[in-house]
Amino acid sequence: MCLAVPGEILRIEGVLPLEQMAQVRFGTVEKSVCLAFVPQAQVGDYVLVHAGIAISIVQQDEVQRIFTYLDEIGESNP
Amino acid sequence: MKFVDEFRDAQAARKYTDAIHQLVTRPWTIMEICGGQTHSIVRFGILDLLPAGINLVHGPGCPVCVTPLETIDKALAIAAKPNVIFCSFGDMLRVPGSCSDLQSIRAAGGDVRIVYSPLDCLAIAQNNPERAVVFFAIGFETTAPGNAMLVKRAEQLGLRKLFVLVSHVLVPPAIEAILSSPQNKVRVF
Repeated sequence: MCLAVPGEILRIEGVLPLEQMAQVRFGTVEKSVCLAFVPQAQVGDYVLVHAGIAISIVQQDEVQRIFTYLDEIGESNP
Repeated sequence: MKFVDEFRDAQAARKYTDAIHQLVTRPWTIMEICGGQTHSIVRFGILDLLPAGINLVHGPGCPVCVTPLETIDKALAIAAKPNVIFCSFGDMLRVPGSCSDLQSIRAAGGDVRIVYSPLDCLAIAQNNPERAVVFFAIGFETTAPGNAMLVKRAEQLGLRKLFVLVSHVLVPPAIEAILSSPQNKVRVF
């Protein structure tokens, strides 16, 4: 439960801020993720997701760095 | 094969340890806070490849590891009740209480369900309006807001039979306690 993983927002559903959910892609896996804590997030943004909840937006260069590290240790495809 | 190949990935482990050797100029005692970090360090054999003078101290671990025994006993008592659906992160199921664990309660017929997210409990409560749904809300700072969001959404949806057993803990006070000990040798977290 402790790990947070970056994923790309594919679609955003819902209008009210507390109810907004997104389909987020992690490698080959898609999950439904709560966007309540990052209401400014847009489709195409990468968000750090912990226990089904996006807790921050990750900048593009940081995303590349994270995936490079994960590739090196074979963890990029959960 | 998952894990077996990574165990043998000497190249990746060597790359990291070489980088560490180049950086180290003096002894360090370092505490890793998270059990996941400890797991990776051991899994890649990095522990045995570190330079002399680098001393790793395994820290408090994750919220699962530091949940008090009496809280786990409460969880077990609740989960064993009929008409309760007890929802938990999967990691908690094998953590022993005084005389059992959630996995054993489930094997004995208790309705214990693993959730990926606290918000998964909303659908469970909506689909089982006649039953009490209890979420084991453990977590550090990163998890607590999500657990709180479950309560907020449950209120909005009028789910009056959704409950939480709360055991949140903060990391900074633990770090402060370690640093303020006269015997402390940890210099980095």
